[in-house]
Amino acid sequence: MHIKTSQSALLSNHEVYQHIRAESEHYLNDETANRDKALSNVREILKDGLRYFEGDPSAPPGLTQFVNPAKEISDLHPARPMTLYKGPNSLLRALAPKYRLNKAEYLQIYNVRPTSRITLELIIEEATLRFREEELDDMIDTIWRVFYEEEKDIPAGVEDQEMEKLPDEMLGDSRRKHKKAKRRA
Amino acid sequence: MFILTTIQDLVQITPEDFNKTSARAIKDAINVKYSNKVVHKVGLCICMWDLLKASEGLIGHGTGLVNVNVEFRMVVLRPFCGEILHGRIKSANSEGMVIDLDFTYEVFVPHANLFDPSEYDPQENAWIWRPEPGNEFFFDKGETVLLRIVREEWFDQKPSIVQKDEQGNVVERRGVPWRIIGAMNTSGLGPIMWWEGQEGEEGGEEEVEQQLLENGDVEMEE
Repeated sequence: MHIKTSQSALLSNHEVYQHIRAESEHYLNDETANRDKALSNVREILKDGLRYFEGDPSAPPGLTQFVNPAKEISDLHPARPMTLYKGPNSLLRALAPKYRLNKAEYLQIYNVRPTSRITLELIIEEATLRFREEELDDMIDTIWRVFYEEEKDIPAGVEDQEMEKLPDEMLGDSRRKHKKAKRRA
Repeated sequence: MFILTTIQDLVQITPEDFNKTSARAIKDAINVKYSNKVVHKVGLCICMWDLLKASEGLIGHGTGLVNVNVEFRMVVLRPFCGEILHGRIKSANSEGMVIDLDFTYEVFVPHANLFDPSEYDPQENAWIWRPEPGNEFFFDKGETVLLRIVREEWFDQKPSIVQKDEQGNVVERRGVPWRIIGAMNTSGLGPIMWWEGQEGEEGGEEEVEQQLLENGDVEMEE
C-alpha cells in the first residue's frame, strides 16, 4: 500500500451521501453481493453512512427531529445533484462576487447549511470582524435562496455551462499565499 | 468531513471472483481491504470512489490469484480541526461526553470543552449547562448536536510497536487507532434545539466584546 496523495480532494456530505446511496444499491440490495461474507465490512460502513445521513429509525421518540442537510438536498434536487456546485446557479457564484470566503467555509456551508446568524458565525472564522451584521444576514438569505431554489426555475444544463474563472482574491485564498511568500522571503 | 485519498496498491483477486466483471472484482477487492478501516494519519476509509489505473492481471507461481496493480481514490472520513459537524450524544460520564457520528463513535468531548459552568448529574447521567441560577440546559442522550473538532489523536497500531503500561508490562490489547476530540463551548454549539429560532442574541455579548478589543468602540446591542 502506498498513499500517493493523502488528500486529493474535499467532498461535501451531500456528495458522499449520493455515493453511498449508489453503492448500497449493489452491496445492500443485490442478492449475491449481500450474501458474500467477505464484503461484510463494506455493508457495515454503508449502513452506518445511511444511518448518519437519513437518521436512525430505531431512535427513541421524544428527541429533536433532525434531517441532515445532505439528505434534504438530495430530496430537493434528486435529478440534478451538481446544480449547487457548478454553473451560474451554484452557491459559489451567488456568494463569491460579494464575500470572500475560503474553501473550508464553503464546504461547511454545504454540510451544515446555516439558517441563523449564530450558526453562520460558527462556520465563518472571525465572522463579526470580517463582515457587518447586514452582510451576514444577507449571506443567510442567499444560502437559503440557493438551496431552496425551485427545480423548475433552473434552466436545463446549467451545471455543464462553461463559466469564466473567478479571480483568485474572491476566494479568500490570496491572503494565505501572501503570508507564505513573505515567510520565504 | 470527507476527503478523497489517492492510494496505489496491489490487490489480489481470488478464483471465486472470476465470474465477476474485472471492474467489479477489483472494486470489491479494494473495498474488502479498506472499507471500515482506519489508515494511520489518513482517516477512516468508507469505500472506493473511483478507479484511476489498473494494470494487467498477473498470476504468480503456486497460487491461482490474479495480481493487479491499481491506483484508486478512496472516500475517507477525516474531519479537519475547527470543522463544525453534526453528531448525536451517545453517552456521558463524569469526564465528558461521547459523540456518535454513526461511522465512528471515537469522538470525545471532555468536560473542559463544555460551556462554563456545566456539571455532570450522575442521576440523570447527563451534563447540564447552567448559564445562570435556575436556568438549566440538558445535554440529553440521543440529541443531535453541533460540535467543533479541536484535536485528533493517532495511535500507531504497527505490529512492531510494543505498548507498555506504567509498570513496564507489555500491553497485549490494543486500543483505538484514532480519536477525535471535540468541543461545545461557543454559542450555536451543543444540541441544535437550543439555538433554533435564536437570531444571534446570545452571540451579541461576544460580538460587543470582540469589537471592544478590536477598535475600542462599543456598539449597542439591540
